[in-house]
Amino acid sequence: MGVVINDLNVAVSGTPILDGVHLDVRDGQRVGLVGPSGSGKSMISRAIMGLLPPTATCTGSIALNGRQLVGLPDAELAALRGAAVGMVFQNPGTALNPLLTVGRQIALPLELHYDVSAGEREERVRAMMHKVGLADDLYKRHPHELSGGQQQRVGIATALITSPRLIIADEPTTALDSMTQRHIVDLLVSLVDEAGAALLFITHDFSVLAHATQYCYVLDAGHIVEQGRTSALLDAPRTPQASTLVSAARALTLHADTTSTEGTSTGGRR
Amino acid sequence: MTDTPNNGTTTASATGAPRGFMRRAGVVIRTMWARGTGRFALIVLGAWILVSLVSLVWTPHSIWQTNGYHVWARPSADHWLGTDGTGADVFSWLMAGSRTNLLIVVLTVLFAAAFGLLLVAMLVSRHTALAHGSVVAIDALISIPTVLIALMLAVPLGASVTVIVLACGFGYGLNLARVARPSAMLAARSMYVESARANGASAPRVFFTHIVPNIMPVLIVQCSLSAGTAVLAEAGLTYLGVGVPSGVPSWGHSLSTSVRFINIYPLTVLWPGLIVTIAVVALNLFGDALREAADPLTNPRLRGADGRRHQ
Repeated sequence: MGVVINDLNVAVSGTPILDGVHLDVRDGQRVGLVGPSGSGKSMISRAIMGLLPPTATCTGSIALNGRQLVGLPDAELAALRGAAVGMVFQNPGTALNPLLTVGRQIALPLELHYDVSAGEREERVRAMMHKVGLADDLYKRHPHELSGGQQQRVGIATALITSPRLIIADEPTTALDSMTQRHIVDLLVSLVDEAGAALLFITHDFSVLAHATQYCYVLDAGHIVEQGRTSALLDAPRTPQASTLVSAARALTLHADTTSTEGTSTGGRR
Repeated sequence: MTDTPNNGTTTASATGAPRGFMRRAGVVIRTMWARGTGRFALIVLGAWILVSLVSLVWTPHSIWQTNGYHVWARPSADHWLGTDGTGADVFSWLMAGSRTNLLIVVLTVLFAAAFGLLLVAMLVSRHTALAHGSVVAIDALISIPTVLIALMLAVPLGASVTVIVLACGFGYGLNLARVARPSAMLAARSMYVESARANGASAPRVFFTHIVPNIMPVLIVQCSLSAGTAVLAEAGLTYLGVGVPSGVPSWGHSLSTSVRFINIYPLTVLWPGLIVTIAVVALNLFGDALREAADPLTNPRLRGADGRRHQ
């Protein structure tokens, strides 16, 4: 199952953003999607969620667990969002409602999709908080009292609370420091594997990509230009677009990667 | 909520919502009380409500008790604030007027808030035509003065409280929408709203759970300004003859019956004028104090404490 995208075309106000995209994420698979800024990475995730801007037109096919999403009315898409697909956002500080406590924030998808009692909801939220490594006493805290890493843990807990079969992580580590990045990626990977869910990991950070995904797609100006096993693609990119990205990333991230490993061994998690 | 509670945690959280609200309300009031301006506002508004209630059962003199031999009297032990042109007790009229003004303020603010929120919902709607259309409509309608709306409404409705509430509520609702629009747009375009939508929240739910609470500071201040302006508008419209009908006590009524004699008997104008001024100041300060006290981001006492108590 998972999500199968075939010949997806998206245009916003007449400007083509995605052009004939094919992309597959099967159950239990962790798939990366890389590409430079503006290549349309986030538009793919928005198309899957049915959250394209009002002026966008979308043709082609997106099959989620065998169900065609393109052309589905918004009410039916809304029933899938947060239940069949969970989403982790780029900037955890702004993706959390500043006025909701951690407990209420994580409970939102449960409130929307499941008819469970308040007590059971709290029990599940606390269990989920434990799973993502959030201390129990954070339940009634507000987002601004949390560190960036803790905020992203809340984001992950919110995305996973309904046990969705597909998780889309849209640059979930970009806003975090390199040490916290590693923890968050490890956490996401272990939780996704444990649930046997599919993961679509959108990033432009190659060190994270190698760590988090088995297979990956390279997107450039709305086209998938290359795809393959992540390790193979990183070692020997075939297309010029991919090799530009890889070499640029290598020059930048290798240094950061070594310092982050050292940081982990001496510092430990906060 | 309907499930049978099966253990301690369930029982605690099932009753948690109303108890949490009461606790938060208590914290908010204590925080307001701790500040001078907030305390002044709370005392004045508390006294206003109390006097309104008392006036229903008791006033020093009946407001219908007139005395042609004792008009425009100075304050005395019998008539604390003197008498008006019919010999009726000014203090009693002001007491009785306070309940009319309270009713007008409450109804106007409720109507303005409901109408304003409806407009804000249209302004942040994802239907671009509706959003753009409502901007133009609000800008066009806001140029009509409240007084003009009241005069037009008075034609079919006559002088009545309804005219004041409808005219002011309409005008202040437009104002509220226009003032709240930037922060509402900011909230509507925020990542937390996108995240809520990605979790399957419907448009009304996004609006009431994520947008409205986050623009609450603006709404509170705007509503308190509206409340203050409603008191002033009542006085103005009643003076023009399209507000509270004659015979119904209100501060505007007390003002308009005595204002013609301001050069001869200034004291009878002073009392209602003073009360209107104090009420308007108190309402505005109340909004400011409430905004600061009710926001968990600026009031640390609203957060954390609860969690620590439960752990």
